[in-house]
Amino acid sequence: MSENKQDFNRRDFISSAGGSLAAMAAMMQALETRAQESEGKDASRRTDDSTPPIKIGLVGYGPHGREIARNLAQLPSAPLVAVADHYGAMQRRAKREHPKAASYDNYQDLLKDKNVEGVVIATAPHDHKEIAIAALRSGKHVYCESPLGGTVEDAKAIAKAAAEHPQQNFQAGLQFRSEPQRHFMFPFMRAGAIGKAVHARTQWHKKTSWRFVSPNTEREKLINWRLDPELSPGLVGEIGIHQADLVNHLLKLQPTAVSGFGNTIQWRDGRKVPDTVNIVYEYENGFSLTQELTLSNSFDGEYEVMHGTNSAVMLRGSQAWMYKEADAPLIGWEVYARKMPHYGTPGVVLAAGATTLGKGGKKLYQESTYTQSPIFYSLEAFAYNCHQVKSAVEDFLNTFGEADAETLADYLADQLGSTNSLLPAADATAGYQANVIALKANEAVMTGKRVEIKPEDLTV
Amino acid sequence: MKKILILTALILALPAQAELYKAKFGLSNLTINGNSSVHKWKVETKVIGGFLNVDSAALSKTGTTQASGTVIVPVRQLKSGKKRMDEVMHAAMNEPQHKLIKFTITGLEVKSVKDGVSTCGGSGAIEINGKKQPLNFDVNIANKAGQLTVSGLVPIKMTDFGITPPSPKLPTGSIQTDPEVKISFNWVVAK
Repeated sequence: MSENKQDFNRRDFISSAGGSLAAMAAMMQALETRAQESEGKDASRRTDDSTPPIKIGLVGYGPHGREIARNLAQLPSAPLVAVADHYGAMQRRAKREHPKAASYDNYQDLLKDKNVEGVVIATAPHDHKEIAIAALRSGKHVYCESPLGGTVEDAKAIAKAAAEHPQQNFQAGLQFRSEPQRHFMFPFMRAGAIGKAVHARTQWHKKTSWRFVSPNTEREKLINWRLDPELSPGLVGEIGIHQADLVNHLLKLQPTAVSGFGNTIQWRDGRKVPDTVNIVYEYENGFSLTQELTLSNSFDGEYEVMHGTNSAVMLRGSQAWMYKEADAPLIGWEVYARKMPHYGTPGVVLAAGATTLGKGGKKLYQESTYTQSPIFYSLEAFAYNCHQVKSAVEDFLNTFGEADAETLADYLADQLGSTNSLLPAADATAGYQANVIALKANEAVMTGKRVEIKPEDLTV
Repeated sequence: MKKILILTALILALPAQAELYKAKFGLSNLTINGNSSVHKWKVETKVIGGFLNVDSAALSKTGTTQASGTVIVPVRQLKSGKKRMDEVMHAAMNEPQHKLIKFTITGLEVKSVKDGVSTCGGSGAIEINGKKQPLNFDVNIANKAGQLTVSGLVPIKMTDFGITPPSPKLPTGSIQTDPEVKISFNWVVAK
């Protein structure tokens, strides 16, 4: 559904904008204007307090679940009304930190809670399938963290269940798709602004053990699923999936094969899941993507760079820069845009909401107002889109009476997908495809073999 | 239950020749065109429900024919393709309180018939923002394979329905919206 809305390719751009570089400048200006629409509200949000709330139930109150709860607390459109965690200590902590939310020791009871409209699943990937399918069957909207499943079969079962329940919003937790800065780049990249895409590189460096401690041995084994090769999708499945999906989404590409290797260099505690991995994805048109992820060193953090024949674009946090080649054609607007040096090379700032004229033309530059984390924007999109889907379904049933799933799916795709009614978010198909690609990459790392990714592998 | 009773009463009240035609999703479209101090604007929807009770044979000859029907358009599904503009428009129409635009048809007069298309004058009422106004309108009705396509254009004034024309603010000043709008529609109903 969201893919329809976001589908934008070079041909669309050329036909709609006349293909001129001046038109591209106009488009960028239009995007900046759109980014300013948040004036008068909390500028870090895209929704305001009038957005009707969707009441959220959270399954899993581990570190990631707690981060989700913290972000929900800043979103009036997504009040947290229930938390489920089967571990007593986590349940008690949730009660203490969110006293107004109902507390459950199992997700089944949370799903029976009629007050809960949308469920956010923040458990280990191998538990997602059972919870996600049960949540959809109980009529809830579902936000499922990425990877959707620990196996391709699990991910496929979830994506199929989502398709069978079009009257509910399903969102895969590919957070970068909802993050305003990265979404701001979408038409820019799809219009071929970097020239012919040559290569992309992503990096995630963070010195952290990935090991959690617990006084309970059984519990410790359970919470350290990331270190269990039978259950863990590895660094690429847990982290790299988001960056690879972003590159594939922005450039509208899918890899055909992946190779990789990994080692345990820093954390020699008996783990069999590498703490440092290098991955190379191959594409049909000669394009390649390399990913570098490590738990052993933090220098230079995380970013994504896409190299084209005309320029390279780097995305880092809530900012982006374009580094033009000397022989690249002049676009026009970049002459006046703010520049920042990076390793001695001046980069043109590409920031959502930045480089704008304020009232009376006084303000020549402002920093991007979208300063929240990607998970915040992903949850904001989930709540808003749940409301849109819920409203559209209500209107359909009030207007035409009952409908079969296929008619309803067609209607929603038409009514929401083509009318810019949704905030950008990853749907079940996008979640499935990213999941398959990440699991193939992890397979390449663990086996040391080149793994093919066939088009049929990416079909739900 | 209430809807069923009303529908049953309407069916029983009409002559035996009257047939019930119901709207289905995907076949109809409705556009509201307006103007402003900045640019022309439009909102569209394909979500048009309702029913029409009419003797289709009577549509092929001139004269008054008994007809009744209701057209329903959910306000929230009127879309411009611009999220902010939709929010402004839905708020101006008091969408949370008045979710539907309702148009009732109480009579039809066939003025001429050509190539299977009947040109009709109709009477009824239109309800927007919870306020009902009587309405006379002109429509063309094409009858093909058990399906009626009702097409027309109805000009209305927003202020007649208690709607203050939106005037969203921009850094360069406020936009002034004309109160007059034109509603054009192709409403398809089938047996």
